Amino acid sequence: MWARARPATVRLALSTTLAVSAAAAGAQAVPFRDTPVAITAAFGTERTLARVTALGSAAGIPAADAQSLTEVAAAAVADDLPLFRASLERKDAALAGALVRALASLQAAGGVQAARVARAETLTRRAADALEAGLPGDAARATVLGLVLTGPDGLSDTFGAAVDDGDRLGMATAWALLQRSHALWRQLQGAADEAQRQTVESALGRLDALVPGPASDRQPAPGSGDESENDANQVVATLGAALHASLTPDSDLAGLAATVEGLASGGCAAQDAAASQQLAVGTLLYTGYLSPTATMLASEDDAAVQQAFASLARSSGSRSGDCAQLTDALSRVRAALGG
Amino acid sequence: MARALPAIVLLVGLVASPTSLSFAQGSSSDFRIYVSDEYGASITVFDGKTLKQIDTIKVSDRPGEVRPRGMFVSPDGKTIWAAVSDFKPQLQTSADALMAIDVQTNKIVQRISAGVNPERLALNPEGTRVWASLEASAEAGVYDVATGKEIATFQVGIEPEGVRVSPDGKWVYVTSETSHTVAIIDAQNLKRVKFLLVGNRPRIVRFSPDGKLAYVSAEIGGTVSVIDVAKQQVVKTISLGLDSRPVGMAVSRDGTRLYVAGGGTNAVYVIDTETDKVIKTITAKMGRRDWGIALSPDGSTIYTANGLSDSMSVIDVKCLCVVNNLPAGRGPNSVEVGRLPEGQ
Repeated sequence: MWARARPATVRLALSTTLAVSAAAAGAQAVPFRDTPVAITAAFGTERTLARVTALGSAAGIPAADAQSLTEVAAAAVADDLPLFRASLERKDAALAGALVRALASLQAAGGVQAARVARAETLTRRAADALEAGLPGDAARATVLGLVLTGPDGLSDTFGAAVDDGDRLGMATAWALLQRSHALWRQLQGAADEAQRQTVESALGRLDALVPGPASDRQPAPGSGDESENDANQVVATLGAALHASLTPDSDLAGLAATVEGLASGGCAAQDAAASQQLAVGTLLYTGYLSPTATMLASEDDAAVQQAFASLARSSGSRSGDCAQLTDALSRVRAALGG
Repeated sequence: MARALPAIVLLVGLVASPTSLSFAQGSSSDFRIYVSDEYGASITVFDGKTLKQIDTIKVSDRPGEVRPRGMFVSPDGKTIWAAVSDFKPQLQTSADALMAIDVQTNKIVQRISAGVNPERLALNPEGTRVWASLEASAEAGVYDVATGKEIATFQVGIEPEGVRVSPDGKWVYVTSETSHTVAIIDAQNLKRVKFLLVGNRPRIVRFSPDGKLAYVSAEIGGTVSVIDVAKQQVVKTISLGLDSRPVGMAVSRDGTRLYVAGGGTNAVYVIDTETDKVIKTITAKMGRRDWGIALSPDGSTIYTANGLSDSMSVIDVKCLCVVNNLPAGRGPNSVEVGRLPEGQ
């Protein structure tokens, strides 16, 4: 654990220096290239918090059936927790342990029972605060906000699907993500000039009008999903200009492929919590951002990467075959993407 | 060389393209402007000379459920085609269609049932085939105009959007938002031949009048990719800035300027295609979230469809300034210009 922590610390310090130098030189910062794990871990806590908050409001949602609630609780455990568990353990082992137990307990309860929801929400909020406090500057924090708004299972993704499906629980999750977006924006607004502030405030205001709160009976109008995507993208583009940073992981696909290769190598080099987290982050980035392109440009390699990531997520034994397949196929995908 | 001689290029372009030939000869007084209204299930029609709204064409009795988005003007300028779908992208329904509107009567004269969620469309230069991006099924479809029958479909990438046929009719380019790609289809042999990686979230594709270059806007990337059509390669990427959000595009008749709708930035970017530099960013008095953009037949005026302000902005090309904003239905998405028959 500590042996891994030192290089990470060195890398963090180096990336901070690079970011400062880049800003001074007028170059564009790319936080995702520098600190993918820290950023994705923070995003993982935000997704968990949104799901748990939505579960907390489920009592007021008539259409929230037991299966939906169970699925939301399960997603927090299966999809979100692997993205940040090791980072949180390094930061605050006691908090990490308590949160893991709370989320498991919530899942066991089928996503209901107010006391369990409340405990999970409190602990997740603390986890988010802890991980976000360690982010190296505004550009990294803005990148987290970008993911909350436009990332996989982020606001526009969740809200768009909820509108299409008439899923009130999904809308409640989107609403919770929107509240967190406001909170993150409040920490960042000092970096924007007046015009940029107005642009972001307007876009967030339109999102407030689009996304109904959990207690609202209002049905979003058809097309609201597309509208939310537009406004979410507006916030990200404006913040990117304000911070002179590229805030979306896929702004440089070849670069992102190299980042995922690094995560896969790290994840395959050990079998501990940190390695698992690297693989989870790599899987999210690959599936969410690279696969849609790789499947068109290098379909066999894309399938091999997906298969290897899935196998590694299940495996507890020897992983050498999957790791070899993963690194080989990722290398070819990177080449296909121009890297 | 070709780009240094715009007059010759224009001539070559006219000969090569029936679209350009018939349309370029039109005066500014015999055309109509069509704006598709995504949330009104209608198309608003303006007289090109007076800019008065003269009609509203209903494409459905179910506003808010059925939406027209992309449009295309036929090679002779006399028919406007619109891609129509509903808000249920997962299912193919009776609302998913390609509709032809007669410019003289403003009546819907043809309806072709298309695949899942058609978003944009384009005709070949002869006007005999219509190509459509089918957003939900990651396909492009091609249909016979005379019979209305589907000829073929192609996998083109996730969330396809922009579609255009090259002026010589040989190639069809289809952008895919989520794949960040352009699929190139051999239009004569009906075979997909290549994918090109372009900017992040590509939206619209336009060819230069001589057909040598194609331009692809990338909304999230804030770029316009320039593709050499003969080489089938991206040869340049024009950056419009981190906070730009380029979507719709129109190329001037002589090919020397590219006008790019800025979407969420409420701007129009004017690119000099000789230098590939932005020479002007029009923001003053612009409507909000301009998505579609089109030129008048004589090239003197730009029109934008502004989705958030429910309006059409009118821009004078001489001053590159907004000279008018007109109400244009609910949720304007695209704008196209159709030509009336002589003497109308």
